[in-house]
Amino acid sequence: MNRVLSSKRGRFALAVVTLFVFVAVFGALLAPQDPEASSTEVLEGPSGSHLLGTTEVGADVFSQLLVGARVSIVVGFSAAVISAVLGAAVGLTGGYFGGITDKLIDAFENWFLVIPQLPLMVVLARLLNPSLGVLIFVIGITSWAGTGRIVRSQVLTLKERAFVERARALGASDWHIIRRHILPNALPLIFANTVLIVAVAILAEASLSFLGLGDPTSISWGRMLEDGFSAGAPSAGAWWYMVPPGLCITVLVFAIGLLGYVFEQQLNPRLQEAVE
Amino acid sequence: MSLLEIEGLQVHHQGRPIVAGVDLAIEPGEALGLAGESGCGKTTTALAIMKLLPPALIPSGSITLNPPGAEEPVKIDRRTERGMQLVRWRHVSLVFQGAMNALDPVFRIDAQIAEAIRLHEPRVGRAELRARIADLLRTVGLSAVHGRSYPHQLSGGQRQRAMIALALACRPALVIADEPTTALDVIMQAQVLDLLARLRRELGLALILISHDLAVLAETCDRLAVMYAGRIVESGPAAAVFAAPQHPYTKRLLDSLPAIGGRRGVADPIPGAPPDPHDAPEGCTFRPRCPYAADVCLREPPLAEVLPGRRSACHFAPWENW
Repeated sequence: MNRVLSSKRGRFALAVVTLFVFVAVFGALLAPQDPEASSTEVLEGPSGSHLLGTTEVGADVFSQLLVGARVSIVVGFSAAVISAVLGAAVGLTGGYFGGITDKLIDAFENWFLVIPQLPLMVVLARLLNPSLGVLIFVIGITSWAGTGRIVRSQVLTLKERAFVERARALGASDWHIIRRHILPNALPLIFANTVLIVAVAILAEASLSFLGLGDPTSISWGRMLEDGFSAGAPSAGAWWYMVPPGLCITVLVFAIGLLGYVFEQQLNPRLQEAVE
Repeated sequence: MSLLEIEGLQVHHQGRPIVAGVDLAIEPGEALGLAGESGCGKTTTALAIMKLLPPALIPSGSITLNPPGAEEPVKIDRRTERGMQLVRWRHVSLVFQGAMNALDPVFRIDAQIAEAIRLHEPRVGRAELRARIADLLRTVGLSAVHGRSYPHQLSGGQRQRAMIALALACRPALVIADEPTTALDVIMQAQVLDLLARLRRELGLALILISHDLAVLAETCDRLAVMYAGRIVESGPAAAVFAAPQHPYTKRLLDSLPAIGGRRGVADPIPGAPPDPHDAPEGCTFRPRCPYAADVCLREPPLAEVLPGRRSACHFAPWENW
């Protein structure tokens, strides 16, 4: 963490992500107005009473933006955690045991890697009733394959290390070796990869919500984009409706991507010079 | 009853023998030196005792352990993986070649020792655990500061000491040390060897010391077994083997050591290399490199008692003057 803070990029990325997380936690309290409240001021531009204008039903865009951060962040992080746990479990099992187990897992993984993620998510989200939980599940279940692949290759090198043989000589079981020796050594890699998955998951949530497959009961940036689009905001010139959520998604995803990149550089000694 | 009895141990790789029939017995408290060039099966034998061979190596023969206090002998060759987990480290522990890599880089030394104890004695309390770790570290000449260090923070010698402390964690009856001093400079080598000798005296450990360095073995061991191409070619009391080798291979190994205070000159190496197990010569495997080879050597020589307490696998043994 100290080393992340020592680079400009790291400090910047961490500051942006922290700001967004703060908004996600306290957004509902900070929002100046009820984001769902309708009024007669329909599709009005930014003004003193509505910092970012209003929607087609007269709700406050700025309040929606603050409240919407929560869904993006919650979905992004939860889906990334699911993806990391699945990917780590699969990568550890396949890499450690090898043989037929590995082959089967590998085939399954390839299948998930080559299926285009968005259509698969769309189908899954359609099949299940849209809700926050379903969204997290769908994104998590479609994004673990890359992590699995990376963890597997790391495990392949770790399991040949002498300390793993020593652990076996100690009388340790496979489960013990995986849990106590392989996993802790692979953890930095899993962590860096998970940070990058957060960015992907936030984008995925926005895509699904934009396609109307999000949770209809909660406000998110993706849903704002969809609402704005179906209300004809682009042709009406109501930029204040769609640019802010789009910009928020872009900045957040960029910052998280940067954070993951910095982590990766810190953890990969061969890339370390490039940071300086 | 011997502590460890190995009978007819063979290890095959793709149908070819890496270890081609090893018989060994180790008494409680005894130090046995296993000597030989690289690739002659020393480490493979050690791993077979722990049943830790990689899957491509297939062992056969019997290995029996008689741990003190155990009611019946442990037949290592018949144990399942789960059964071996109870034996490993509890009765036989291993000091690895190169302690740097054998210690997990992400855990402190004391945590790794605690891991070994916990695996075999899950009910040990926290206070006792701490006391035992402190005790182990003190035994090998390390302090609590070293216990709280990560492996990369220690020097090579300290790491090897930590590895020895780890090997003693469960108070095993037998410690196998596989080239424990190879990666160390001569000063650290001497210290680690002294440490092993002292521990053996104080704790009554039996020790199998594996090394290509005959000088190291002569200093530390009671008995010596010299391996060549997967076989034991000579065994006997260390001092006697040194004084009067009974196999041309041992003789040549000793000749290849420069003698301190002796005649100045270039050491006399053995020409050639040990045979490839996939293409071993017929009869005596040392024949192609042996200056004394004759027609009789096309027959495989048995490892026979040639002098009291001395065994040699050479048709010409006993040798009196070379």
